[in-house]
Amino acid sequence: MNKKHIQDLLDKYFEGETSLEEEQELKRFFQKTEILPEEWKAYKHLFAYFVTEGTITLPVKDGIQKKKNTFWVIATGFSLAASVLILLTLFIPTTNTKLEHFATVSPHLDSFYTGKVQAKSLAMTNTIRSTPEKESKLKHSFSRKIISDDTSTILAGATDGKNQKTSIGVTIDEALTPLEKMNAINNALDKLKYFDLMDKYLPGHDLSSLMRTDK
Amino acid sequence: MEIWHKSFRDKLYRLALRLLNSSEEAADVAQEVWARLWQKRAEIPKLDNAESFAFTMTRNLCFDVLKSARMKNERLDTMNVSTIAGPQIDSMESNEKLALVHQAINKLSEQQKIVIQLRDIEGYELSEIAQMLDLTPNNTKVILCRARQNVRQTIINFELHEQETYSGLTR
Repeated sequence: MNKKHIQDLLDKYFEGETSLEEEQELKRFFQKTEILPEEWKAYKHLFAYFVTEGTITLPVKDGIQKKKNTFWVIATGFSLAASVLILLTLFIPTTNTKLEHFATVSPHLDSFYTGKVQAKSLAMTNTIRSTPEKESKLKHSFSRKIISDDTSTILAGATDGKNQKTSIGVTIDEALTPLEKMNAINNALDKLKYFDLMDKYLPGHDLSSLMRTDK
Repeated sequence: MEIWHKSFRDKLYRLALRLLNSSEEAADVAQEVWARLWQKRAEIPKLDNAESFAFTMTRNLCFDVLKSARMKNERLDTMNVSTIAGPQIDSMESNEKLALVHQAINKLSEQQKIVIQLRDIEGYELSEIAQMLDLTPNNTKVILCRARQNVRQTIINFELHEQETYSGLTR
C-alpha cells in the first residue's frame, strides 16, 4: 500500500467522499501499520477509536445489586434450587412442543443435566438478573445439559410458580474461558429479561417467533 | 428479523450513549425503543426500513431526555468533562489519545454526532442515514464532512499544543 494511495483516501475521507469499503481500508491500514509519518499519527487513534466504539455492548444492568445483599443471594439460591425442580416437572411433559427450538441445538433434551453444582453456580448468576419488581412474581431458573465433551446447553426459564412463562436456550462451547461462558449465559439472561419486559407490556403473547439460540 | 437481534440493540445503545454520555440513561433508552418496537411489531413488516425507524426513535427519545434534563438545568453541571465515560483501553497512552478523539466528537453538534456514529462507527450508507434523520443524502454528506473536519481540527490542534509544550520544556 503506497503513501499516495492512503493520502488520497484520507483527502476523500475528510471531504465525505469515501465509500464504506474505502473507509474499511483506512481503518485496516491504520490498525496494522505501526510506523507512520508524523502527520498521520493522529489519524491512527481516530480510526482506532471508531473500531473500539463499535464493540460497546448494552451492559448487563443489575451487576451491582448482587454485592449489596448477600443474604438475598443465598435466599434466592435456595428458592432457585426449588424452582429448578418445579420447572423440570413442567419441562418434561412439554418437551415436544415448547422446546422445539432447543431441539435443533440439542437432540437429547429429554435428559437435562440437573447436577447440583451447576444449578447452584447458575443460581448465583441468576440473582444478578432479577429486578426487584419482578422478584415477587417471576422466578428465573436454569438447567444445563451437556451434549458432548465440547458443548453444553443452558436453558434459562422464568416461572410464576405455576406456569413456565418463557424460556431461552444457549449453546455453550466448553472450550470457552469461564468469562466467555459467563457472557454467553448473561446473554441468555438478557434475552430473558426482555421477555419479562414483553410480558409486562403484552401479557400472554406468543414468544416462539423470538426464541432462538445464541452462537 | 435483524432488529430483534441483540447486536441491533447494542447499536441503538451506542447511539444513545453517544448523545447522552450516560450508560444508564442510554440503556434505558435502548430498552424503551425495543419495547415500543415490540408493541408495534405488527406494523413493522409494512415499514420499508424498520432499522431506520428504530434509529429515528432512539434519536428522538434521546432528544427528549436531553431536553428535560436541560429544563431541569442539571445536565450543564453534570456534564463535567472528567466524568464523561471514555473508551476503555489498557494502554495508558493510547487510552489518552482515544479519549481525546472521544472529546473531539463530544464537542460536535448533536446532528454531527449522530452522523459520525452511524457512519464511522456503525457503517451505514449515507442514503440510509439520510432516511433516519429525514435529510437529503447531500445534506447528510455536508454534515458528515463538517463533523470529520471538526474532529480533525481538534485533534491536530491538540497535537500542536502538545508539541509546543514539549519544545518549551526542552528549550
